[in-house]
Amino acid sequence: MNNLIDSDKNDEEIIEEKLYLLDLINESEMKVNALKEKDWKTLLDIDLKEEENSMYPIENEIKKRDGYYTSTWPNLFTRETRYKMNKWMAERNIQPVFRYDFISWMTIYDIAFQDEIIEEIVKIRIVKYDSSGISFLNHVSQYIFGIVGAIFFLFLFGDIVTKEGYGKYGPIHFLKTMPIHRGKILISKLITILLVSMITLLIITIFSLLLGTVFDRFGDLDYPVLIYGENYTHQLIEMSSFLIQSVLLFLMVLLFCFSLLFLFSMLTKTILPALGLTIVTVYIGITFSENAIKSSFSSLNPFHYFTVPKIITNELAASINNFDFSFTRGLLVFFISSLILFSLTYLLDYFSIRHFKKNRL
Amino acid sequence: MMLTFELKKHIFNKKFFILSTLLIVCVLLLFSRNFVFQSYIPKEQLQEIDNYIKTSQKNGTQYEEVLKNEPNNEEIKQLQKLNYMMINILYDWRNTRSSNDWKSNLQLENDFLTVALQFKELGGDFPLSQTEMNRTITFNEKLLELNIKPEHENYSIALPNFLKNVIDLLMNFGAFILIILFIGDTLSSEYENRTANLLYTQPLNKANIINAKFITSIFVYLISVLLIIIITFITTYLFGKKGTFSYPVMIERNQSLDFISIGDYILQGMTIVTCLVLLLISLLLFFSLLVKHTLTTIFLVMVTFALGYMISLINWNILYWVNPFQYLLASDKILIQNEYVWYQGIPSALLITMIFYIINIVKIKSSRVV
Amino acid sequence: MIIHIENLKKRYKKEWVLKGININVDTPQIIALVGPNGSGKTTLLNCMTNLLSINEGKVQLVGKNHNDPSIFKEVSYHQDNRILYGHLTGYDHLKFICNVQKIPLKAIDPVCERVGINYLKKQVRYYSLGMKQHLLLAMAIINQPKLLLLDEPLNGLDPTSAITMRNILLDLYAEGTTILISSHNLDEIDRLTNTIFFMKDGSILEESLLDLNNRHYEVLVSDWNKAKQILNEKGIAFSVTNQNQIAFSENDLNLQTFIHLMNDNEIIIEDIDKKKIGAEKRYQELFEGIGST
Repeated sequence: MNNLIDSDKNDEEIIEEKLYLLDLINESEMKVNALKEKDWKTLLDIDLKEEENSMYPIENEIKKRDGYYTSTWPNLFTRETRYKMNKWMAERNIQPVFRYDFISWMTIYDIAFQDEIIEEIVKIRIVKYDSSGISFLNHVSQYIFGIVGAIFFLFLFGDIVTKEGYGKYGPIHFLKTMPIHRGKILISKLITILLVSMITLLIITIFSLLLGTVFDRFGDLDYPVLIYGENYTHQLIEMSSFLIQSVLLFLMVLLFCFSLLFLFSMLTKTILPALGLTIVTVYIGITFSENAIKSSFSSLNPFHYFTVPKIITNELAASINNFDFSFTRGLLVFFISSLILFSLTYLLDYFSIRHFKKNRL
Repeated sequence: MMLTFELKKHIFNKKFFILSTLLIVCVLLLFSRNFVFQSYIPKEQLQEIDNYIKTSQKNGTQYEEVLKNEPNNEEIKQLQKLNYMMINILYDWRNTRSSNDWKSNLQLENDFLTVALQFKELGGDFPLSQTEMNRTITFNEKLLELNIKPEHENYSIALPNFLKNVIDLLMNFGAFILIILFIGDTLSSEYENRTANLLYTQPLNKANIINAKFITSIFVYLISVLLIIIITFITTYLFGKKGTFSYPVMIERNQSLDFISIGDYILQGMTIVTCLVLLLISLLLFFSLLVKHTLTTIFLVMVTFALGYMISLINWNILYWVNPFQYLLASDKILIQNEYVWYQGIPSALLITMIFYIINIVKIKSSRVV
Repeated sequence: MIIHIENLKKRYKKEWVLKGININVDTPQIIALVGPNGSGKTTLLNCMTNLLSINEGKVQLVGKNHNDPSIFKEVSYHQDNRILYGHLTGYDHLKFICNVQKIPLKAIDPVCERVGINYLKKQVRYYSLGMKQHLLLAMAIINQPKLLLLDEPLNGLDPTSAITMRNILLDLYAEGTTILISSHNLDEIDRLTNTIFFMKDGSILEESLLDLNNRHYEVLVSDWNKAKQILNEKGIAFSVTNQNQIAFSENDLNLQTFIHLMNDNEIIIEDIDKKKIGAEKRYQELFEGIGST
């Protein structure tokens, strides 16, 4: 300890520093014991106390800066949210997902770092690893609930319309000589693939939970998830709510993609162009939309809602300071876009029959 | 004669015509977007400067508060001094922005960033990373050195820059999707539609089927690339700007910043894309022979490329030599050349293409229609 | 040997679909392959032409192994119309065959005239089923093959086209081509050939060289009950038709003998109707157990 203390200081200052270092050592020992005994509440309480006793308490800093949160990591928002999350976990005795120390938490408001070394360290440490069921499910959903998952499901049901043989002799001729309304054929296909998608997602969910539970533990359904709000506000929601909302929004993503697929299937009548054009449209839509995200009507563009987790957490909204982007708006935008696409598909089918009849006559 | 038959099958197909038209439309739409956004660019840049001014003013207010209580705080005094310098430069920059004097603009931007770097080094808070600032300074210096007017990275209507945008799309998954659309079902559809029965009941060396399909696929790829380039040239000639192929592109080479010309970037990019396309065609034919089903073939090819690309993320030097799937997002391979050179994986890509080509020829000889 | 198939066996997963087929043909002839749906006719043809792999046995066509692509210089296979490319024209298909078979393009016109095609420039997707069958026939005969395999070539053909096809096949046979035809049209089979392979459940039941002289008679007599009695007493095989005619086969009872028998018993013969035992009759006997006594 003596080597750590600056020898230029007077006795009083030295004693003060020694006491401070002793406190630090005691605290660290308590943390180690808490970790060994898996006493998460104690561990988190120590962390909370550290923050409260810090030289620059958050509340004071926020008042001082009059609503200006800075942009260098760790900015005040980052500190504030970390404190709140730890408090939430301490109150509910939730096991934190490691790593959980102060250099493994970053928010979108951390635009810059003091230097490159700190940047590198933080970016390595913010990657969290946890094998509990809920955590693993969350991890899996980050990959699935986006364009990758959408493409997977498109492949799964890529030929749902084209294999009926629209435009040539195929099973569709059988269906159309039955007392079934044309729209019913398409709607029933859509409902079927949505249901099968839901079942597939359910299987993935159960499998992920099972894997995690068997090899580690079930996890905490009330683990906190940060939701960004306007003007640097925020709230925390439970992981279960977050996952449910993610599933709902992703199902709407699928509805939109399937509607696109149906449209292109009706247009091209062969599998490869239909599927290819769907994927290309989604890819180009997402890429081009990124460039136009700051325009007035961007929140009405369905292609902005493909990164489901970022929509639910309002990360996208906060990064461009446009809180029109939200979970409910996403649901609505997808629903209306899908309706429009589906109507176009129906009209195409209807007019192709009339054209066919006209030519035959 | 198999080749002419094959070419006719592809070129005189309605699908080829429609996809080619869509390709032209996409390029035109991209150019239109850039054209429309020309008026947005200066607004965006002014907005950026205004944001910096706002940040600096907030910082200034904070420092004034601190200095009221600690008038002898040298650190804050120094920060305040630098902050005032930044504000002054920002105002000058803002005023010059609206004029056409791009050289002054670049110089002022560099002056501002230089001061901002010092500011950050002293512990000041600013929403720009040092890496970003250094890159911008270096890039601006290069532009001034070469006496080339800066173009917007995404919305340029100058020929070389717009061509780079288009090639970037091709390099980052675009060519992959293009080939899959155009020739993804070249062999699998023969089995699905039973037209393979016609080919299999002719006195043909079956290897000729693979040869013809491979060459036709390359031909289709070349036609589509040519189409893209021609449309790009025409639109920029009619509605855009001439630009220069010496426009610098910043790359990271051996942990330091370097430059290549946009012309070189485009050439390197097209080389990588072409090698990747050859590999893709080989794999498409391979999986088509294996599963004889279009959807499954394309899924397997995509999974192969995805897995191969994920392997390339492992930081292991030997992979840069042997893993051709690293070129799936090819622009990264040119822009960041820290532990490798952009062409390192090309020989292995070509070798693996040849290997699969030979496997395809051997496999088709013993394959049946079912 | 034009066709030499020895113990050909083919299996789909666990089910044997061809169970030891043996066919030997060494002189040009027309052979029909007849059987119910699912008996393995198309599978046999596809195995012969190496479109499907075989599990056991040996197949040689025109003296060469069936997996040698050069056999298709002398062997043609008229298949399902799905092998045609919808967006290409009939001419494109024939041109392709000419190029592959190294036949001059001027052979296309005479073949089209022979088959009755005048719509070569149209894309195949606009062809009716019959038009596609015509095109397939033209594609199959343009190289003047030694062996012509046909799978259901009469599907979708109108009576005129069916007659045309029959005449073409007979001409080809006269020119020395061996023809193996699979068909459900038993009338046409009768008009084409006297050699029929009846297939059932992957096996050849019978190689029938129908005896053209084997006649079947249906005789109208004045007292058919008395005639019945007499024939029963003699132990002669016969049957009675719906029109109360006495029906018997030449093999069972000679016509002259029958006439004498009737005269001796003062039964007047009012009408004699002579019928040939054809493929249909034999098919019924083999697959439906109808006929005999």
